[in-house]
Amino acid sequence: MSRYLLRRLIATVPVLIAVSMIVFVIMRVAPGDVAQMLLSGESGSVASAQEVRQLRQQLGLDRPYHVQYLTFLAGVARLDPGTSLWTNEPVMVELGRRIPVTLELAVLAVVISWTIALPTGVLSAVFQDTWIDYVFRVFSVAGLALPAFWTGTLLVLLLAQQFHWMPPLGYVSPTDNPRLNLQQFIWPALIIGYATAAILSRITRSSVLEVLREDYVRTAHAKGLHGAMVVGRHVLKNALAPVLTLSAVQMGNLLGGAVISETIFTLPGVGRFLVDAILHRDYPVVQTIVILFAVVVIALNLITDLLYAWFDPRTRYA
Amino acid sequence: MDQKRIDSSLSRRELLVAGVGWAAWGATPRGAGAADEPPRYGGILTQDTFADAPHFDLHQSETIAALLPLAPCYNRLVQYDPFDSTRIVPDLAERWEISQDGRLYTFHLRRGVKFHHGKPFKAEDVRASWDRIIDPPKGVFSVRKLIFDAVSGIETPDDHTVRFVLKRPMASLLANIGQGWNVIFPKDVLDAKGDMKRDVVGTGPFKLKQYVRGVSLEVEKYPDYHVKGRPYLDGVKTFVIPDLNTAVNAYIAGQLLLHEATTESQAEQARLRVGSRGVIARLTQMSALTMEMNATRKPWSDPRVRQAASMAIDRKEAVDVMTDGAGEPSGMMLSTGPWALPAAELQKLPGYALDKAAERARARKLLAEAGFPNGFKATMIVRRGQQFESAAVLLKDQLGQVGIDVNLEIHETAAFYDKTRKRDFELYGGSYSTAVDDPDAIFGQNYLCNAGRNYSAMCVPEVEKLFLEQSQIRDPKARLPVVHQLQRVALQNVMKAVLGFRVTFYLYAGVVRNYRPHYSRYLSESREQVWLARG
Amino acid sequence: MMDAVRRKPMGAVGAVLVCSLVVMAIFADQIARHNPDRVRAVQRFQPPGRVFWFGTDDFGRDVFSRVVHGARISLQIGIAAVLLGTSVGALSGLISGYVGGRTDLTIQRVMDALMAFPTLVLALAVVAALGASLFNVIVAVALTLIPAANRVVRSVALSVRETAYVMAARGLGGSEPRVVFVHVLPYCFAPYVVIATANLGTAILAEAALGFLGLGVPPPTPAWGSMLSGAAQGYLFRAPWMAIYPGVAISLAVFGFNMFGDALRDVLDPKLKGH
Repeated sequence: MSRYLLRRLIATVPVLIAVSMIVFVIMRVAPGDVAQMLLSGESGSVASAQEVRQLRQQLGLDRPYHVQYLTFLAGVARLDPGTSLWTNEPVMVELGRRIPVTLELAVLAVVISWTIALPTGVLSAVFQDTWIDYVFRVFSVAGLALPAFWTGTLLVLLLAQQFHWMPPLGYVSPTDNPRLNLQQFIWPALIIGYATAAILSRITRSSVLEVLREDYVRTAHAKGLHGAMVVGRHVLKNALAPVLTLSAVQMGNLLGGAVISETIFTLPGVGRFLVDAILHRDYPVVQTIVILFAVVVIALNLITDLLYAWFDPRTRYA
Repeated sequence: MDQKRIDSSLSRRELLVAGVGWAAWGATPRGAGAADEPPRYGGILTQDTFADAPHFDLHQSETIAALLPLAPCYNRLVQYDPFDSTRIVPDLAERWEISQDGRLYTFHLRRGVKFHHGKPFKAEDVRASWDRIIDPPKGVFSVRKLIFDAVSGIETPDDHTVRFVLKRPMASLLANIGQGWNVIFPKDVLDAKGDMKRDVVGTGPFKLKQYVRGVSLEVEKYPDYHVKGRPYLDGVKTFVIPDLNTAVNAYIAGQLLLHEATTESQAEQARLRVGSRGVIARLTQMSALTMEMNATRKPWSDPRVRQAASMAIDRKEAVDVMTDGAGEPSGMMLSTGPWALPAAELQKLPGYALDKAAERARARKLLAEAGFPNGFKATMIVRRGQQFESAAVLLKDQLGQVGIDVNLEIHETAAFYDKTRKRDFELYGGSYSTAVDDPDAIFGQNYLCNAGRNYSAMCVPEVEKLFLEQSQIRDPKARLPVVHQLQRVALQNVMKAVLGFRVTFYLYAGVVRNYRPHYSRYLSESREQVWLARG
Repeated sequence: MMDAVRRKPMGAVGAVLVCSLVVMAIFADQIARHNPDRVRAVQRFQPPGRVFWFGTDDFGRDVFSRVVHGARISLQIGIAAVLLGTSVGALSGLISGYVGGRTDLTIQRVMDALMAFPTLVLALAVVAALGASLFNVIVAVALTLIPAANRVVRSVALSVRETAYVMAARGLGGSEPRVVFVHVLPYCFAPYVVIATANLGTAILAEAALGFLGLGVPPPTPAWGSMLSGAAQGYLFRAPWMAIYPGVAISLAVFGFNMFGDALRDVLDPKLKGH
């Protein structure tokens, strides 16, 4: 077990290096740079080419690419990826403020998506091709088909227009005021959760369908066990493995989804920070966040594989 | 105050006139509304910006995201009258004299002013601040340095006097000193820190209370403020709200008391939902819609092609679409301001003819003469953003009608700046904003040979000559005809195709008093005089 | 035929939606009632009515015509991105699964890296780097589709490789590429089609999300995503039809592709066959 874990952990190193290289290259290919952005604005004046050059130098952007890359990599290894070029604050400090926001959003969304997906998926499978199945499937696929930014905007519109109510502006941490915090987080979490539930529900359905056809389930039925008991005891446990896998993959994509909902609901999370950083060409921030996301995705995959093995002994440490 | 309450029995046009005649508001600082009611102390004004400021150093900033939340913390040497943006009034300088030849400005400073960190305000602070604006030390990037090219140096004969020494007369020196950016920082903090990127220390009516990056910046009343009885508010809180709809919804829900510079559609919605509890002011903004033609590229180096392109543009339609049928085609200077070229004059210039069909026929003839009887293909770069893209779609459609087949290339801001700086484009559809409606600022930044935003790379000797001439005429009456001539020459040469000025809407709750929006958001945002009525 | 509809009513609904989308895309010029790009300032913000079924937008352009032409753009982006993404993914998966060893390892690490990017983030960064154009949006969306296709096809190839049938083909001296293309590839076809269909919906959604973040297909191209973000967001109150109709179009298209894909999987997936 620990050898397996060690092997997996070592295997992540080249992946992370590949990720860091991909993002490094993408960001340098992107035209424009932070120096120009810092010196320009909407009000009209423009910095001279010489000033831009000087600021680039000051920010260390004139160093050769490999030096910039290796410096960054060394920084990441020491858990100090440098300072933001845009705000001049340490990236870790900036991130420390924002991670709890996105984390809370992600956890809430996952809880909501499971709450929706499991019952609808299982019922859809058990009552396959009946009206119950159709209703739940339409409901879940609708979640997939409605773009999150669209439902988000409509929701904000509805709340403000019909109820003259808006989630309170600013950000309240859950430890300060859980009630206000929940008012801010519940709407974006619902939207992401619903969208995520769509795929999850489908996988639950097909996974349960598959297990239902397995011999041991038929045997259980034959033994005269009650339907609900069979589903509860045998089917669910075995059907959960693929659902878990998918859920982990989705957690990763959820970070991407946070980019949009954090903008609509003005939550100061990592997603919005990333979009701003990409637009500002704030290289260290973009690189750090992408690597952070990658670490999260990889860790989730690892956890899923371990859980998978626990659920289904056949695949143990393969 | 002539605040116009929104009343559903009146037509929208009538209600939204508040900003049309900004000059007509006159010089009386406090209008009727305020006279009836004594100002009330207390309360927090909530407002918003679309982004977070990268840093706090206003001399090195160019974005309203920095100016709006921080302006309440600072004073300038002179300021724009918060009720009348045509007037320059004292701020930290209580009075000033200008020498006969117009080359020496002597400012007499207020006494008894203290910075937020306790140090008394002196002439050396003015000098330290203005030295870094005019001649920044290494590592400091003064983005408005070029405007003050005429200033050769700053002298401080004693602690309460400051002299600006000029190389040549500059009629609009005060107008430019008064820009919201040119705040006075304390010398000791500048010396110790090198910049003000992390520090907020001013002499203004409010001081920094709390800053949560990405969320909000809150300032609180400065009890030792040098103007007796001011400010009225306990504080100002500026939220960062990147999404336009969210911001308007927050205003509707009462979480924002003030939402500046929004669109007609959003204003209309606020009117429907907020009704008489809110005020809507409609203002022509110091932001001109333009199209640049890169004169270093063929065929745009050919004046006939530039002229034909300008003639293809139906400015009336463009302005109608962009400003919802309320703006007028204009020249370089603010269409509602004192320097604007009259409509009758404009209509004689290429591109402004009333009979568009006839003018477009002439444009096609010009193109044929230039060797393009069947038109040609061109690429226009556009900055990402709804207002920029909308203007570009319109330009594409209109140029297409004389045979110039335009392909739009949208770039996000960083890439767009990169392209424009390198002059890597043929056509550029966008706009330029200037803090003040002043010929020095507008031509100096956009039309002179070495102007930072002369993206077309046009260099017209007569424009240079007229610019210097008007800049030195201190009598506005004598200066006006030269400024008109300057615009005429620039328009005849089609240095840029100017379409008209943007119109935006300012929304504020009915309880907000003594607040008045201006044609530019970079003039008067300190909120010193604002107070909140009992709601 | 009627039997299929009775057994798979959801699939039938999906098929109808997909077919109407395809018809709209092919016959856009005949179906649209006006030129989708024609600006008419005097007709701005006309509410839906007899002349303009879906109303007009901020330039006085006919929203119905733009939605119809948008079907073409969306389908174009969807099909191109899916073909590109799933083909690259499937091919690399096939090689990875069949050849195995060091090649498999290298390809899988690259896939791991691509998968480690949250979908939207990768697309966002790519469009930021390359600039927003129809082609770059396709490339960005395609990139996000590669790993999933790779994984599925690889696992099929892995299992097929070990079947007696392929071993026999190899034993009989079939050349490696021949074995792959003649004996392994057909087995990968069914999962490929299922993935491709489901991904069409994903690709259309991805285009919309990029549009919302301001990195979609540049105007005036009537792409659904750009239509319902951009200007439509600014005029949400005043002219809600500008955003509602393209939004509905996106939802119906994605819904259709998913339902159709589900049915297709039920039919094509050998494991579920016969039930």
